[in-house]
Amino acid sequence: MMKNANNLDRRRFLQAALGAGLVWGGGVFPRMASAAPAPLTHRILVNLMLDGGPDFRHLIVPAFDTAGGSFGNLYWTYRRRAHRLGAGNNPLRRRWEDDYYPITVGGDGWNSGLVDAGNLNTGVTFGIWREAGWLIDMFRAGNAALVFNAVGGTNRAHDLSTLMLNQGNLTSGLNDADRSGWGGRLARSAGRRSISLLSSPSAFNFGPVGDAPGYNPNAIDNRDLVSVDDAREMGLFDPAPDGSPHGDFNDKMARAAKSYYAGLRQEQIHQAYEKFMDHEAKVRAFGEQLQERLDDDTLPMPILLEALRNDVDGINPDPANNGSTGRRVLRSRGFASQVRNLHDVIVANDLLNPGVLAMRYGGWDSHADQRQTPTVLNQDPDNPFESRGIESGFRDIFGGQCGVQYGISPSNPDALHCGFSALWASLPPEDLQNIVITIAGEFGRQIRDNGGAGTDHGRGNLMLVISDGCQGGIYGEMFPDDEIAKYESSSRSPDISPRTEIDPLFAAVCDWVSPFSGAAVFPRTVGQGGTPMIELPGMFDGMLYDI
Amino acid sequence: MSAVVLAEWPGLTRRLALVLALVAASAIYPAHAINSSELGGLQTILHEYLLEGGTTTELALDETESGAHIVSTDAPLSAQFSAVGEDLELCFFLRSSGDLQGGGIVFEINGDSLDLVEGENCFSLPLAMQETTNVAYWQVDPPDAGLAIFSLGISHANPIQLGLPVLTRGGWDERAVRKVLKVFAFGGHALEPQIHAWANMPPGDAIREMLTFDEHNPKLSPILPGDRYDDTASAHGTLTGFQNFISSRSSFLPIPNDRRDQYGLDGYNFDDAFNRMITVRGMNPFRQRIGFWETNYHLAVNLDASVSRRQVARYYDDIMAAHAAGLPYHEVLGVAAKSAAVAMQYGHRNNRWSPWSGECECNEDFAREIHQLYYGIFGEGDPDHESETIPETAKLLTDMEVPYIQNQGFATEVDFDTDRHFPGAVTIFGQQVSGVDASAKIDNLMPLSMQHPEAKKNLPVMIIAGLADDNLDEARMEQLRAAWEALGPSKDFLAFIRGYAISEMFHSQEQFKYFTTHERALYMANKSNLENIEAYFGGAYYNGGRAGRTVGSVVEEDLAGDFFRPLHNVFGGQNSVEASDSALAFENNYNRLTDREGDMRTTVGCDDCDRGQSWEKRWEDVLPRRADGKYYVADVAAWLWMHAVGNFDNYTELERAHLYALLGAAIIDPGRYNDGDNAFDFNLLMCVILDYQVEESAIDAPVTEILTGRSWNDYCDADDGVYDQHELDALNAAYTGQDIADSPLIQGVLDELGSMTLPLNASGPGHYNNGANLRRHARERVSSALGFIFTTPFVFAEGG
Repeated sequence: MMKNANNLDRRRFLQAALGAGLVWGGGVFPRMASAAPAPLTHRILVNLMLDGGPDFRHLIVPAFDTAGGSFGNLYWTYRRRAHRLGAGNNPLRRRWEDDYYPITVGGDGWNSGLVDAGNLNTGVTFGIWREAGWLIDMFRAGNAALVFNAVGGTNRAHDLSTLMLNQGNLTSGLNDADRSGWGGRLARSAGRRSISLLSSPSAFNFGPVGDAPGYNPNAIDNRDLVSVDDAREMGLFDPAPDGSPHGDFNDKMARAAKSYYAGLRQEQIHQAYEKFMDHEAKVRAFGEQLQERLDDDTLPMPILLEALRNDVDGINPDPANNGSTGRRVLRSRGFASQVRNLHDVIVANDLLNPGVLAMRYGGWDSHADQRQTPTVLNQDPDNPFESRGIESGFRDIFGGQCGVQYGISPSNPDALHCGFSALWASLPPEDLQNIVITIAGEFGRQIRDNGGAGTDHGRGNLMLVISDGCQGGIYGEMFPDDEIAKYESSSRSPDISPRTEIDPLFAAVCDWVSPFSGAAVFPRTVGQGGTPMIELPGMFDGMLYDI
Repeated sequence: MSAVVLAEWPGLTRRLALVLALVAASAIYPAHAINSSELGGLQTILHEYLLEGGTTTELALDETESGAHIVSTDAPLSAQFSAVGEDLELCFFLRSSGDLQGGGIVFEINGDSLDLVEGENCFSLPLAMQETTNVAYWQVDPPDAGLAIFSLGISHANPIQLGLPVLTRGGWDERAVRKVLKVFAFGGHALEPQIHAWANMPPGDAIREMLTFDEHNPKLSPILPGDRYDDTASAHGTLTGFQNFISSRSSFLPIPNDRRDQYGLDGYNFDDAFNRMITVRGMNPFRQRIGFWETNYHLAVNLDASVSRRQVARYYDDIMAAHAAGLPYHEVLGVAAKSAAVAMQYGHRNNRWSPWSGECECNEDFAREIHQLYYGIFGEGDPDHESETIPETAKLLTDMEVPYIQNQGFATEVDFDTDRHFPGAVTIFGQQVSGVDASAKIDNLMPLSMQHPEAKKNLPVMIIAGLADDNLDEARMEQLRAAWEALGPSKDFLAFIRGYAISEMFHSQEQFKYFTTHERALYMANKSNLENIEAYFGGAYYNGGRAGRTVGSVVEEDLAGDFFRPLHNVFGGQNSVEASDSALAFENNYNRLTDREGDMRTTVGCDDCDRGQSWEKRWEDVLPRRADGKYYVADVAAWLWMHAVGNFDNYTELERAHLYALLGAAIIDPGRYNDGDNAFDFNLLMCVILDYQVEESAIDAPVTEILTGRSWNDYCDADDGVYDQHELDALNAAYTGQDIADSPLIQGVLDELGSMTLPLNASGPGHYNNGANLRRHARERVSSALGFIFTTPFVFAEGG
């Protein structure tokens, strides 16, 4: 045995013929140039992952009830600290009346056409946080399905439940990170791309190995995956095509790197380095096309979307600063960037051919202080720099005209809009008809608050499906009777019992995006690998329909 | 064991007799496997052989001689060792003054003649080929030749450590050393001689030197000789100490006084203070590697989650002090669990037991994560995990106040009290955990946690998956679990890491590790910086000059989350798979090294940025020089690749061509200011050459002639903004390795470039500005070449 032998020949050359006479060019991706927005002519899924386990029981609540032992009494009694309310019934009542928009199933606020699947909630009064104006609008318009008692992760551990939810596989364990995500499977089924709007894609986007419908979901092939962190800035630096090649060192290095990658592409390298070859090809090709399409002069960012992240004159000026002409609208600049990016991918959909798009919003692990009420908000409710606990997130995502108390404050359609509201106001109706949004977190939270004015990990939760093609309404029992006993039981960590697993819910979404894809994306729905739980059989049939 | 001289060797007669006897009964086996057979009377011959003279030494299993043997014509060497009932490996390090292939230098084991190489030699001896007494023999015939034999020893051919098969000394080489440094020490700062020395040591001995928890490891992180910023060689090795040092106006540093406050404990730039602690020489990058993982991943706390800088620094230092003290790992985790940083992070500093209501006014956050994140205990299959273990753990974590100190903020220590602490024992994992306060209960819980079946299953995998391997399969995980179990109930974390770091598992083809943005940025900085001025600058522009490689801006641009502000809060920072999937990280790296290549190329010197003095990057001190004292492009290219990548797996014609061009192809204009400047990329060079051939109707391509004087830009230049087609084709060509290998023209060019030299130490009146420009241009080309390597896929991962 000898050592210290250098191995200069380990890397194999691919077919020699491929290497002869190559030029770097556009390579594997078609080139389509156009300066105008492309209409969205196919359906897409936008999935928003809420990391941390959002307390949707804070967003949608039962009506306050003074009757002891009623759900509406127990909820408010055992959530007093999480809502930051004082002793007695009056603070509870005021909070309910002031801050939640009341809807009674089949009664007040309940528009015709809304669904109460299985009539499980007849006569139940609930409230949606008034600052979630866009959600209220979408719900009342019949475009939002609220799916109660849903579960995406079967345990209370963030990482494992997140993996399960992203993969759409409740059987996954911690060591199963090498499985595909349900978004990646849907994209493959649809014959389209899996787009991450994040700096790093999550497991949701990872594609399966092979072609639909017989692909292997338990392995990853990301050939469809494209990360678009910033569609307007994406791209690799290129040498100037017409400059002098001798003096510009930037060009020299760029030319060397570009030539090198083009040459290396003809050789076989270890799998550990393949991802970076993939990045080089996709960022180069798509970056060139996107920058051409999304030129700020010819296709500027719509003003409402621009205002989400950046100061825009006339939108959200600081009332405490006379010199202020505008402030950004959203607290989370990251989410604002994703919404802008979502817009750009949609208007450039002919270049990217998106099938699914992934977004995320974090900060939902609200063990403490889940509602914060800085006094400055009394005078400046649209202040994006003050944390309001999880209400900041709800506002960023679901807020209509931000700061407006839905049903109380006068509305102004020309004023600032929060995240999805701004997007909806910035895209043509024809595009909106082809979009479905799913919103979920990895688990719910316990039904009683804790000593830190927060809530601890639970299981069941609310999930949302929002689309112009959605049969909106209530899916599942909103406030299950069996929870009443849990509130005052000796159980030390009562939560919402799961009744519906994600498989049938998201399979229905998949079928809408790409007909007959649901069974391949969620094979348990057709009995492969178990039978998923559903509160009412067939509950999601017709939840999404052709417009 | 030292060499023992038994007798004078009378000559060759007896040796030949012995050899003949051995050979007569032996078959020749390939690959240095030593044949054996039953030899009648061998013992007798051996006895005589040993008694009749020569220098003879006895070898014992797993012992390596510390001395050297000199072998000459008059002084052969024999080493004997007994069979030990298993396969063996014999190794030694050789320096020779003769021709090893010339036939006059003989090396035999049990009579089989074997080839030698300069450097380390290892030979395996399967059990079946061993004799009762075995003899290795060195003989030199030419009078002018000689051998020096160092580090002679025998060891197990299939060594096991903690149940893991580990590399033999023969399998442990420079590549293996660099791999360990790359994965476990952000590349480290060890200089070439030290890397070679480690490569030539038994792996167990080397790894004990490489991976330590001391605040300073002078072999892993030596100060470059002559570096005047050497205070960190023996002081300031804690995070608190380093931040105090780097922010102090009385410290001897190249950072301007008015720019130092930011790096202090109360400064805003905690991030850059910590990354300088890893890039500055003199301390211990392995300690920081583990500290970074512990505090930003495994036991993560977050400066954005109410934890103060002082608390984080204290947390970091306490954990690493516990590691350095060799505490069992469950005690290290106990230190973390009892910290103020963690109590702030999770909010259990507010947890109170109410003796009046009999209720725990608590949250369950850390009550869950102390099991899950610290040990990997999820409660799988335990029906009481949610209903008992977690609520009971919340009761354990009561009355852990972090006092608020006026004008100072929250304290860096928890005040463990009993008034509002749950007074009795709590039931966790079905076992009683008692203690007068939370501190005592944590102390009693930690050993139980370490012995939990889920901890045994998950914790060793969490450690290795987090630090070193993104491709673990179930079989390898089982190996790790067995190794962890072999540590016994008191887990020696360092022994586990050391055992893994020399294991066949880590050095196998199956292992690979993607680098997070932080790891890659730190690795590239450590591979780029040479002196501490560069590390302290960290790419900043101070005193009218720029030096060093940035870390912080790489992390920031990649949206990877600052140090101690982990992307996933308590679930840790950007992980390696996320980093590998980040097209943004790739895009940023690529654009930084192309669009902003000047940050790399031009940070090789300054007029007065070094506290008023000039500074030149000292590539000449580390790059290889031949006997003529010159730096050849071929040598420098290979050195840079090995330096930056750690192996030659992907150093092929393709890489060679690009590096040779960047290093070698520059203006040749002696005596003028631009001599050696304006390096050419490979495509441009080929364009120039091909255009030269067209323009001059030439068939040859003399690079030195084409690039000389004022003709260097006569070729491959757009006339009136328009290139000829052959120029465009060359500029845009995607040369493959095969193209390069098959082209006599290109091979000729590369031969010429490879034999060029880099005037890194040029001086004298014959050069413009006494050689300063020439030296600078040479340094720039070296840095550019390194920058090119940093654009390749091979800096984003390790392994395979």
